[in-house]
Amino acid sequence: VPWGSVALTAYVPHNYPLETLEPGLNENAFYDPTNFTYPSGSYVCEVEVDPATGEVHIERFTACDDFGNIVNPMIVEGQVQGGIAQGLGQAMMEEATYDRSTGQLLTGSYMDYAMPRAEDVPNIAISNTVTPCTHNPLGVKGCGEAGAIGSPAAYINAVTDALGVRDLAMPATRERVWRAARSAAPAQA
Amino acid sequence: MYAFEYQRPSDAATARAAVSGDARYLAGGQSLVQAMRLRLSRSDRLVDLGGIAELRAIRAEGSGVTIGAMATHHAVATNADVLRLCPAVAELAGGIGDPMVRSMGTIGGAVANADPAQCYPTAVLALDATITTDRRTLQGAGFFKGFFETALEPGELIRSISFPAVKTAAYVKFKQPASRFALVGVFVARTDAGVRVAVTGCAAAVFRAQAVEQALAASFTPEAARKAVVDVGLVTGDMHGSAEYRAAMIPVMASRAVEKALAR
Repeated sequence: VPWGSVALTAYVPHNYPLETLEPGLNENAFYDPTNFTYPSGSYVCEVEVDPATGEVHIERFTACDDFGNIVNPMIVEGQVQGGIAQGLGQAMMEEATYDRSTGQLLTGSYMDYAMPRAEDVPNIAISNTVTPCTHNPLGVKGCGEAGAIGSPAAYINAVTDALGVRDLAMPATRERVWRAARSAAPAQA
Repeated sequence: MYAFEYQRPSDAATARAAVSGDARYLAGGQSLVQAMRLRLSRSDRLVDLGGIAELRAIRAEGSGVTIGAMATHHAVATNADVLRLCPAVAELAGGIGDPMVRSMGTIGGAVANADPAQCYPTAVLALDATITTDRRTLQGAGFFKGFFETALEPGELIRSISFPAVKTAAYVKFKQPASRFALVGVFVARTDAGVRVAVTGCAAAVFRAQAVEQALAASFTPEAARKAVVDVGLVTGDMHGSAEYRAAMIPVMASRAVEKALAR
């Protein structure tokens, strides 16, 4: 029997033993890897901070990841870029705020919940090294969350380094950066 | 959104006659329609002023420029007379919202709305603009009374707003990161009447920062503005910026405005 006839019969069930069989043709299979995959990478963020206002400008952002063998480089680059933007949003401005006395959500729309926009996210230099994974047949590693994991740490480290402070709570809003700048250098206040 | 009646007259007299009870003028709708959509505002009738050509004119007049109430932000930002006589006002208009808002929103609608974070009220106050309505003329100095509150009476229609020509002036907006309205907006002007510094985004209504004005009257330099201290008591805070932070940003934005004004 040709494969096309099997597919057509399964898909158009006008002459089908409906009492004994469901229409359609399905098969599920699970690949159970023997181990996790361990992607790795390094992100470098360079910032300029205005201590008078707490404004931070990202001068350069460089990302290098190792996702093992890459099947579709364009999709991987898009994943990394989107993830970095998401992580920068978390590090710079995104915060769900509730009213302390009533529990009412105050950031109920994008008029109050701040998302990064094109002007907030720099052009990102993205590159890869390829170290194939040894315990799956494709030699691939996960890449979906890499950008969102690496970028907040790179960004906050850059800002704390610029300010000479040890820690900065996220999101590092302009006011938080301004306060940190004043505590680090009272003479400039 | 609740149901409402919609009218679009082609002359101001018909528009005035159509507004009674809780009917309202529609002057671009960039704030009113949003409020109605969220059911924060309800009107039985909207009288759209967009069809009245005489309210859209912009012309050089006397020593300044008179802008029709229905001139859009885009029209103000790109008008040759405004650019020549009041470049700071053109620049302010060109920074409002986004291109879609600037294509629909109008100066009269914005000034009548008196949102505490709007840009236009700073120019109206700092330049003591003349607001001509269907009944009288009002001065910018006493126009903004409070939170979304102006000197306008119910049904009173703004026809035009006149700004005196001013070269040494500039507006700087420190944007709230989500809405991109002014967290702190500062308009600085050096005119024959002296130095005026108007601030938006920091209280129920636009106000003059006298400490910065005094500093700039002594020395019209960015450094002088930066050293001024604004009383925290004049300023209201919210989740986007405490009163202390906003008060500290006023001299910084004023100094940036002075720098821009001196570069003209």
